[in-house]
Amino acid sequence: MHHLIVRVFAIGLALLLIVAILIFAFTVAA
Amino acid sequence: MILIARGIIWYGLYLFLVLLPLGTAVISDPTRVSPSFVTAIGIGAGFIGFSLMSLEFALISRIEPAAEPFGEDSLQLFHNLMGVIALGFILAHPIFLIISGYPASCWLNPFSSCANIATITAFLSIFILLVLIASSIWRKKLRLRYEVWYVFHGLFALIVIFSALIHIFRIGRYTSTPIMKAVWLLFAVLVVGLVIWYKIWTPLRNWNKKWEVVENRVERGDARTLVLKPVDHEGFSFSPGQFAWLKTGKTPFGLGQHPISISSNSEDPPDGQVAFTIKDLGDWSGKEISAIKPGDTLWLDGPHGVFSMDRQQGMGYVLIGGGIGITPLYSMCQTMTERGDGRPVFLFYGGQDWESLTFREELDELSGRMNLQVIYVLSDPPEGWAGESGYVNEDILSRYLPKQYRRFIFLICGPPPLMDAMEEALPDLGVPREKVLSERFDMV
Repeated sequence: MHHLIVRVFAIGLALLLIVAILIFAFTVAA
Repeated sequence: MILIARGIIWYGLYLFLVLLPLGTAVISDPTRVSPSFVTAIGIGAGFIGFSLMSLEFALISRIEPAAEPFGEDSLQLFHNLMGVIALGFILAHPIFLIISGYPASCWLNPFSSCANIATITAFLSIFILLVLIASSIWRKKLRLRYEVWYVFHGLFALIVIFSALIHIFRIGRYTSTPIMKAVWLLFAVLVVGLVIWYKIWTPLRNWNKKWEVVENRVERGDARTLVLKPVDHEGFSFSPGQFAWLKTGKTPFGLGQHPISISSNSEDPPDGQVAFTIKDLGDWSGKEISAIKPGDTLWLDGPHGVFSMDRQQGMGYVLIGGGIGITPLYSMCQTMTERGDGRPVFLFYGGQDWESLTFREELDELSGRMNLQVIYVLSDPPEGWAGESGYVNEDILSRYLPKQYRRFIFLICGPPPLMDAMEEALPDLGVPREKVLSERFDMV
């Protein structure tokens, strides 16, 4: 696989996970 | 197309597992007292960091169906990138918790009077993770032997995971419901299962599949070719371009397995023989390989890899290799000759100087037996050199490629600068991305 795609996948995933953490925090925080 | 669908399914499974602790924590709602927003971010970062770290084992555990859609070198790169990203999330965990009011002295100093098992295991997990990532990024600069690093890398990763698990259970807030307990247990079983799979089960399967060295010959470019034959088993069939993990020593267990491309013909080799060509790059590839004698035993785990001309058919092939990256391409040329495949092949072979080009004579000989044109590109050419000099680039490619090159399959194997240059040059030349297959030989 094109290594640029792998890097894009990894960075995209990291950003997605940051969004997931923010959603988690909004959901469970007081 | 099926391969793309399988890739999406595996990526989806990975994403599901990464988000599983976070999602379960929301659904099972184990906290009696809701945390503050900053505390919740810290907790969330910790969960994501933990699941990413646990899944690092899955990315390098040589599970063939999972590796097939991506290629093992891509999975290895993904493993490297996600390791650094996991470190970022794991570091964010204490930072956000300390900002929200957790006492830094207790959590950052394992010797303080308020330290307990939960704080000590948290500190240990992060400290070992920092050592693990630093020793991986700077392994060559720190002059760590690959074999030593390999053992400590796995060991440290296990310490990180299990210290973190002890920390999670000692804190207890997110282990109070059966479903959360089940999630943490699933990750523990996954990590232990994967380690057993590729450290114990795989070598055990190879235990009765010895390989005997038939020949150890010197090649151009500080390289050696080991010719091996299977002992009391049929050997394996492989596609030209694939590699295997080579292990020296008395057993297939233990230190130092090395991924090496197969450099021989894949069509009905005599006695199931298979050859590997290894460049002298350090202790193992230099001292140990040169000391191997005919009659010695070696262990193989393979074949692996999706970098093969058999994966996609084109009206011809453009092979681009640099340094010892020539070995899988040489295997492809031999196999095409053996098959009587008359499709045109253009081989762009980058190297430092004329004398160090591994398989130079062999490729010239193959040019007379198949439809092969070899274009040598030397970065340090001899006086009076009439061929191409410098590095393989867009200009050189466009001078030699035939008109229909966009319908050819491009296979690239070489050092990072060559791979990076080709990843830019080929789209500029209008080569469709699906017609390019590549493999980085320095993947570990």
